[in-house]
Amino acid sequence: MFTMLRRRALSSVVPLLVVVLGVFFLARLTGDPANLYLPLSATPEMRADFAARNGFDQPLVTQFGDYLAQVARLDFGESLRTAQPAAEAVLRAFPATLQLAGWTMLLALVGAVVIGSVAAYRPNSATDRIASFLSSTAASVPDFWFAIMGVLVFAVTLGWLPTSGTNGGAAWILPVATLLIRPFGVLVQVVRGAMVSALSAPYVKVARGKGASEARVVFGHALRNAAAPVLTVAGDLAVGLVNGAVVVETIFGWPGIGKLMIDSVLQRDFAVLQAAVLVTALAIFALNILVDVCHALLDPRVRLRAAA
Amino acid sequence: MLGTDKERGTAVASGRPGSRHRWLALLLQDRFAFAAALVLVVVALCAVLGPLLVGDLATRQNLRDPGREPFSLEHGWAYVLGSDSLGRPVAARMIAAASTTMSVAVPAVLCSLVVGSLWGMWAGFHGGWRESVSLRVADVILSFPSLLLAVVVLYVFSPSVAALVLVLAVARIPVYLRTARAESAELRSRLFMDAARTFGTGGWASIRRHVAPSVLPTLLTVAALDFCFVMLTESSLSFLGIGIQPPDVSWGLMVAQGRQELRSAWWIAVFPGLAIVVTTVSATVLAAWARLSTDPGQRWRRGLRGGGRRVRAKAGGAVADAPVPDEGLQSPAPDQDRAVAQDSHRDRDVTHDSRDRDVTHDGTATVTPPSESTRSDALAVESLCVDVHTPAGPAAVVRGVSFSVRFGETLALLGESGCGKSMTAHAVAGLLDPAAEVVGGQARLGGENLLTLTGRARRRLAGPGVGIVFQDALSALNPVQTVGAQLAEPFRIHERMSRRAARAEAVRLMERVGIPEARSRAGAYPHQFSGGMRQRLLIAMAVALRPRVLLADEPTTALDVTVQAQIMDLLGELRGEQRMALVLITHDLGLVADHADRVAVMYAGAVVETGPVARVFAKPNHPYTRGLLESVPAEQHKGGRLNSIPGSPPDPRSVPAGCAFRTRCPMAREVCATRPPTLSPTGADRAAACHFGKELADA
Amino acid sequence: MTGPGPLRTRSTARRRPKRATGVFLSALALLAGSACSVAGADPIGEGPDTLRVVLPEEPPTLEPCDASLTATGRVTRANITEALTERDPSTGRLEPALAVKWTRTSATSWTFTLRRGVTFHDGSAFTAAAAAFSIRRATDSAIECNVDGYIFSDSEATARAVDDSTLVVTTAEPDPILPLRLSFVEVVPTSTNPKARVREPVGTGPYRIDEWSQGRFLRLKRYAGYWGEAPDYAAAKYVWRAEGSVRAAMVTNDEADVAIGLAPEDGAGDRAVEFVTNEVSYLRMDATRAPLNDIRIRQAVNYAIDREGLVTAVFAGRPSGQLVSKGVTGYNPRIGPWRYDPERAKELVAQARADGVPTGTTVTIIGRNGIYPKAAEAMEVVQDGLLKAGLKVEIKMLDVNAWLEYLLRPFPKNAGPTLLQAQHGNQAGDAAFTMEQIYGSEGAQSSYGTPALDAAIDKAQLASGDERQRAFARAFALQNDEVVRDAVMANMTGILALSPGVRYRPDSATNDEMRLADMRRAD
Repeated sequence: MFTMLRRRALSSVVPLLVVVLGVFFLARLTGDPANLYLPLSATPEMRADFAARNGFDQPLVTQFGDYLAQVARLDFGESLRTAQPAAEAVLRAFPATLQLAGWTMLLALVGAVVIGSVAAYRPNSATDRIASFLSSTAASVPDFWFAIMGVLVFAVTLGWLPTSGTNGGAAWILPVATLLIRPFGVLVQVVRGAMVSALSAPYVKVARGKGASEARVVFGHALRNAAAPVLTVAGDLAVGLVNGAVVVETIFGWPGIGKLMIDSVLQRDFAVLQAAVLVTALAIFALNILVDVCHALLDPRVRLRAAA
Repeated sequence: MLGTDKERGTAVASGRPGSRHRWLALLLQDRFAFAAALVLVVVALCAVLGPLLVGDLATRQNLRDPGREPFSLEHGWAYVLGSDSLGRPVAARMIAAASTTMSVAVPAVLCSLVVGSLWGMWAGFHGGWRESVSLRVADVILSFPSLLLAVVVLYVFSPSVAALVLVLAVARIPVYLRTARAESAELRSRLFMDAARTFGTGGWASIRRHVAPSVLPTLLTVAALDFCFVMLTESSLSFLGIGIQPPDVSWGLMVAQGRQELRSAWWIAVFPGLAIVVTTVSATVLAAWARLSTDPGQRWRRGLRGGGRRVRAKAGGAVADAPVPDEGLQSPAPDQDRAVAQDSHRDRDVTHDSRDRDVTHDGTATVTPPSESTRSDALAVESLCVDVHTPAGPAAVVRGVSFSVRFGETLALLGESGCGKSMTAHAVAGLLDPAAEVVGGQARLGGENLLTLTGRARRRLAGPGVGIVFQDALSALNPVQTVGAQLAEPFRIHERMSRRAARAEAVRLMERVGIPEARSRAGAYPHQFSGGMRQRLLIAMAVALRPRVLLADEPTTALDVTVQAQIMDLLGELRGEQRMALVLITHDLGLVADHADRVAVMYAGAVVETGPVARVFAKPNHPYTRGLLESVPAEQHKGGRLNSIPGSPPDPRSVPAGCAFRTRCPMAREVCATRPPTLSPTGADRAAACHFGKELADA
Repeated sequence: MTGPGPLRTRSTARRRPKRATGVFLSALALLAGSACSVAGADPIGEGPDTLRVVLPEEPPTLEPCDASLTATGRVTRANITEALTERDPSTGRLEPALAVKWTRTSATSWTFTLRRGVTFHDGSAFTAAAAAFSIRRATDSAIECNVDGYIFSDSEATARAVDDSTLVVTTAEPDPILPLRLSFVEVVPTSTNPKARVREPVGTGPYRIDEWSQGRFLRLKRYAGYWGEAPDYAAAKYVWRAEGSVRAAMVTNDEADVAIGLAPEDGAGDRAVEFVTNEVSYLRMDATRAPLNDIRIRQAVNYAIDREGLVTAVFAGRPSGQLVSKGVTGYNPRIGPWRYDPERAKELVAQARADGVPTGTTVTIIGRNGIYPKAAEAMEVVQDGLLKAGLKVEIKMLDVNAWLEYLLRPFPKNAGPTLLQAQHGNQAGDAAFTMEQIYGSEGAQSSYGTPALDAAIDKAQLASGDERQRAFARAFALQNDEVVRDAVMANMTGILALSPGVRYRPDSATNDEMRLADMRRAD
């Protein structure tokens, strides 16, 4: 297992570099940030000054080299907007998103496994139909719409929940619900599909032939066999969450990395953007490795393939 | 799935659509899918004809009277959904937006689907460095903030539909890539892919033939959901100004702009949002339907939709007290005694009304009268009828099968693919698929009718009462559990043994069935065993609790000849040791000749001849049995067509009236078309269902 | 998902699902443990003594010399730090703040008498040396103050402390509005770093910074040693939400007392308070390129815009014909908004076409998302009007940075004729901060000017008193009648939501400078 982890970690180095490189150059294609950070009537000298101080006057390749050297010293540069170290801003924002995404995925997975299994247990029954309909609806509701409606209904009209913020447990409900709705909808469908195949597999019949109870059949035999596609899709969805909690963070005032990233794109705050992308990319790579590890734990054939 | 692979084959053949009309007919049968298709057609029509339909209505502003309420026809149809903040009619704008929305969403989804899945299948099929590199590329794309990409595209190119499609497609490629890769890697590990590679079939050909059909259904489902993701992403991009540029309008843009007014004019954002939701849900429903319709393994489920309930309701007249099945996939075993009693003397009707299927052949009871056989018989099956629900209605696949088997005896159920022999065994074991349903008869095991037991009582008997061995040992063993755990399961369930004790029992069983190094191999997984060993494990599992009856469903089909003999010897030994009754289900005449005491030959869901093997084979009393025996030299390809009998077995839905075999029978006369033959004695311990059975016996 | 390639494991047998469960459980425990850190990081601690304000965005910094940036200034100015003078937005008059009086001692020199007994939040005394230090730090240091560019773009100022309470400021050129300019220089103690920006400054204002939990909230506490009247609230807590409807909902839900930057449709209901701002929305025409180089087309654009419709349907405001609002020196009361006359617009375009003006050339509207509520819709209204007048128009909505490239010189090449969606707010109250930049031939934001207009502006800038007012008013009239470079749309109306417990009257400067001390308890 550790050999595998080491190999995976090593094989992630090049892709990480590619991500950093890509972001570095693409960001610089979006224009000179001087206009944003200098007064509107800035003189050419002020602009030249600004460029020199931030290294924008150097050729791109030199800039990138300098950046890599900096990163190697764990210096991620300084935010143009707040004049703070970029790493500080990113490390402050990242845990908030991670927690939000973590809870969301956890609830979505548990809920989807339960509901998807119930639906798959009797395919095409009324329960299955309703679950499929509701889950595909959930998967296609525009999230910002859902978020604002949630605020209007639960905070303004009913007064049950706070509108936004990070104060107390109740404040988590709307953001998590908003973030949850799409992954949940997708996962219910995936779990259902995988469970339908698993439940119609011969080994399920064999288990029944042994006199196994239905609970044992569903949870002991079918579920683990259905886990592979669910894990894959859940991994993708989690990546989407890490990268895309923008709407939730924007609407609910959640100080997360999604909002930080979109702000730094719009504000051309390159250092922060690069640091944020680097951290999320690291998280995404780690998540992929985690998914692989789970695969290997769940399915001996994966381990065999890996060993072969 | 109709029980076994072979039988599934029949279903596929019969369910294959003859033409486009067939698809339409199938679609019409599923109300949900039909509604979904209708929605998509309307959306497509709007997309194509929208601009003609609405003209400039969609952009006609009315700044003096904006935000008209919906559901009023006062200002014309276009205002039925109200007007937006610039006074433009929402309904007209939605129609106009369909075209833009689709021209972004459809190409984006198609591009990412095609590129991503081809790439993924290729990577998964070949494995090795190609796979690693592809996955890392996917990682890179996934970890890349797509918003940055969008801003760059806006900045470097101008925002346009093409640029939007590009951004969205690139962002979604990894999803398909990874899904397709995962599934095809999984397939690669299976045997048939190795076989394909050994035959030297090229990469793309193999992918097209083997990988794509298995992977596509999943990908289609993903694509249907992605449809919505793309529309929503386009919405957020539109809101950032990177998406659709006004005065063009898309649903996403409408939602994005309208969300600001949710408090004052909810309809501006809600209706286009609903359009997105309804379109996506329709696409998902249709994709699910298409998946069912194209996947042979899933197709039978279509028949379940409402069908099961309808049939049951219909049959209700005859089976008034049939218990509602509450065991889900476990097939129902309604109490059919009364129905059988009522109808048992009615002549078999030629119509295919399901209710008449309950009617059983006369005279079956004469072969194994329950009154005299219950004492010595381990298992007595009487007038068993099983229907399978298909989209076209129920089809009788088992039509009044009766047989009995004594302790220590081997009875062979012999027949071609699709004759209903596996279905019979599954019905007895209570393992029918939900699509199949017992509609008549009984199966007595020591005085208890297996078909009317409650779930709990049946589970109590599953193992100590009836054991079953399946033909495909690889798929019948749970791939993710150690064989030790699977072998220990019967002891854990029925004897409530501790984990440790059950494991010891499992090892002992493994030793008994001849697995070398059983103690250490108990921790291994099924895929680490050879075919023969797996079959031994499966048998061990079935005999663990010394069942009174062992049903062996083609236990040696997948094995080579020497292993076959070993397995049959093992079964024979166990039968002797445990004094159990063995029902051997097979199409292999040689196997029957060597290992069975008695044989019941089945054709088209019914027993056509029974008797001691030696005498039946020496002098068959039914033309079908004779044909079977004559085809032996040619029977090299197992399960192949019988050369000496013209034609092929009938489709269960269109069994000929009268004698089911008459269309292929060299001896058929007029009487065969009008009167179904009954299984009647043709000699000592022998019976045949042929009008000329006696003639053949005496000839 | 991994490829089999890189996945490697030694023993394949005897792996139990327990391990997966273990991983899962520890992940759960981690999550549960960490959940408190976000939720708990935000102590409520807000009694009735705390004023809760919700802003559209977090201030990037509180650096005083960036106080001319709206997001920074509305928190910093007059709350944390103060300037020597302050302009009363309702009267337009300059009032004493840290300086009690000032006189022009020569054409290029002013003398300020400073308030005594003022202390900074760190306890040090406010002296002329601190004032001089602050002016130097803002105008000629290496930290590129935004104030420097905004207020002192074309003038050099040198400050010298004569004694503790007397300050002399000299300029290179005569500067009749120097005291006004100095109302933008926030005074900081000499202990402030002159070489780098500070995020949390020390000032003399009624509130000092208590805690800034970045991303979450900023809390200010009443400064006990404040020289003036003590404000009502002992503390103020700022939070920020980007969505207008959420800000409004926070006030209706009693989670905030004041919400700013709302749009009419945000639903603040009876808690909404409207006020006239100094912001004016306009379209800048690129009069150097055909067909916009023909004045008839530019007039047609003005006639084609339905300003009444815009303020009814799109944003809150009053149709206007000039870039400054009432109360600003130079405002010309005789210039009204252009009449909405689509027929006249059509006629003018037709005439121009007949004279060979290429009216078929596509004009691009360069819009900026979020410049004001429903920015894209506003441009759709403009586009609709122009299309009806017979022009060919496309819209391109950009993000701020991309838009700035069109706003500022040097303009992008090959952009074709453009109409730029823009908004101007004259915070300072003098047309000098508008005219040269926006209408001068060489102005940083100017796409076109004429020598006559340049001359009028130059003359106005040197004038003072009533003459200054008349000269700038003439320049505005000249622009409106003979140059017609812009299509001014509306003087924007601001909306804020106020909880019933708070008494506050917003004014035209509220968006840039929101005085907490002016917010009083209603009871």
